[in-house]
Amino acid sequence: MNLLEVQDLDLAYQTHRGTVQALQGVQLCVRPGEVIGLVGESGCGKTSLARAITGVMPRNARITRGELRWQGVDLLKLTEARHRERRWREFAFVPQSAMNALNPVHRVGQQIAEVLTQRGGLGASAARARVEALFDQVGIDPQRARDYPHQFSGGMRQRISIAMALALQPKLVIADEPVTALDVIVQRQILDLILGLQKSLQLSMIMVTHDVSVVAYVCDSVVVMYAGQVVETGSAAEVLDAPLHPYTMGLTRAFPDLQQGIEQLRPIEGSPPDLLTPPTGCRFAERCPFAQDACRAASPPLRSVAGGARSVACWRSDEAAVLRAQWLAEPA
Amino acid sequence: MTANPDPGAGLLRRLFRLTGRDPFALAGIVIYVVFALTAIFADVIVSHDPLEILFLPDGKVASNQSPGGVYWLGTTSLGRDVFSQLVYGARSALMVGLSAALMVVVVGTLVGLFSGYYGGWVDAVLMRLGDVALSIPFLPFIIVLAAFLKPNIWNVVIGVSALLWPNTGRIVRSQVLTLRERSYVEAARVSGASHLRILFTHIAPNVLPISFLYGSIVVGWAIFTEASVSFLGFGPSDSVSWGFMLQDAFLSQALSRGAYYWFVPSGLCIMLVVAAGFFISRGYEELLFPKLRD
Repeated sequence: MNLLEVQDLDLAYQTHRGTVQALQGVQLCVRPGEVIGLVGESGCGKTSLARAITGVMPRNARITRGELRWQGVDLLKLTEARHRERRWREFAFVPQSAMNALNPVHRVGQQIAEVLTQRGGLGASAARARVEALFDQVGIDPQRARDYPHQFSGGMRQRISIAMALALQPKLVIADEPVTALDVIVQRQILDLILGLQKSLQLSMIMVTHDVSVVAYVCDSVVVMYAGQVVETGSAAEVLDAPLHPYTMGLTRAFPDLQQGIEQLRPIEGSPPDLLTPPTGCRFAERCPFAQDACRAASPPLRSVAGGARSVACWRSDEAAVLRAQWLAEPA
Repeated sequence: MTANPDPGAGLLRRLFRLTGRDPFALAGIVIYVVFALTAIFADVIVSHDPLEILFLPDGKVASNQSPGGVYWLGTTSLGRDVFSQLVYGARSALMVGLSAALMVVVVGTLVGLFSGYYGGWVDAVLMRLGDVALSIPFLPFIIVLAAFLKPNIWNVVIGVSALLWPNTGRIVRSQVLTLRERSYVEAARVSGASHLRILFTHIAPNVLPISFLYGSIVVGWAIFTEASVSFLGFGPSDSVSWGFMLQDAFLSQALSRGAYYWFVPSGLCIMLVVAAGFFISRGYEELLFPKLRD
């Protein structure tokens, strides 16, 4: 059975200017032991989706449609109290940016112990022992549990947030941009740590990121989001190697590659549409070099392709191979 | 990867270094310590009951005695010992100052926390209440309060705290507004912490330093207010305070008789305590916001 199934999820934010449709018809499936990369540029709904799964959303957010099935149980139909029981015990969360992820006024060990005693039912000494074990697991001297967050470097703080997420042995860890604020060497160390823990603990993970190289390095499969919709899914290797959606083609080309020259680099022009008034047709049409009249007329559904292994929401996905060649050839 | 051996020692050392660099703060602390010791050991220090009418050996009332001898600072026109009054005055001054500060810190911090965290109508009601309190003229309110209630020391404390909590409340609220958006608060919510738990274990410790800063300012204000109210004759009738001494001296025309020993010491004490409070607040502020120095 799938650990988590998100079906047809719609999420809207009520703002002063009107309703912002932040997620529309989102589909996502997490199998046990799978690492999923959730990619897309800023404001495309990655964090909204991650928050919807944890059930902790801003006050003006409303889920208007869809299901969030956790091991067959629809989380959206649970009372707040029953939902709360599952939080952190079954799915935990590594927040964005290591700098703000820890409370500056409490010792780090104490912050993890709080979760263990309040939510895990451990006694004080058992919690202390568990904190030491967790510190060991993420590669930090257990002696330092008595230190305050400001005494650690960014990478170490990120390790501590990971330790905190693992405290109650969850099945799924949702990591929101876990390495974005770090330099590349530390990024690599953290990613290796995450991968190692994921393998040894048989964790499922959802890794929210905008960095395609992170996805390539860590993820089994990838879900590409654009303007609140899922536009392409599939195994990480296939999607990055031979993207079917023009947006994914753009993403994979928008990052420099050490082996290739920068002439291979091509940004996607423009910015995502205003979700207060989303376009009627394909939401990417405005920025898509291959858009046709049909694209602007109607929104393409997410269709399964390649025998169900992948899916894509593009009217021209059948011509993907030709479009890829054109994307590379076209001068910037 | 070395563990900090003892963070407590670090704080003490930092405090010491700061006071070395900021002689005003050091002076403020010394003044406060002296007054605090005086207040605590008042019963041991005084030579006479402050309100007892004293008599000379020849049976006459010991009025208007010059300083020296048994009456270190002389006596009042009714034959009361000025030094003993001064010592007991320290006790009521510190009691007023510290309890008003405590009340302002508690009320202001709670209001700020709830207002900033919950927002919406809670915020609107509490903050408008604060606006009302701030719009009331300070001294007249205390005097009216003293007229309606019994003029005792606690009514002054209540009056001062009732009008000064909004300053602390507003500052705390603005801090909470930024703190509640921090990742660690979000993480606490995801981990299933209740609102009250988030408010009191995750947010409150972050705002306490600034509440204490505002509390330290209130100490001086409260002492000053109590002195003013007493000087105007609306003060507590059941205890001796510096303001009461000034009023007593004023009504007995001590100035025209040149009895400086009667009113100068109490005036000086009020000035010293209020100034010391200000110096300490300033040093503390610098400790909290080191960037302000330049």
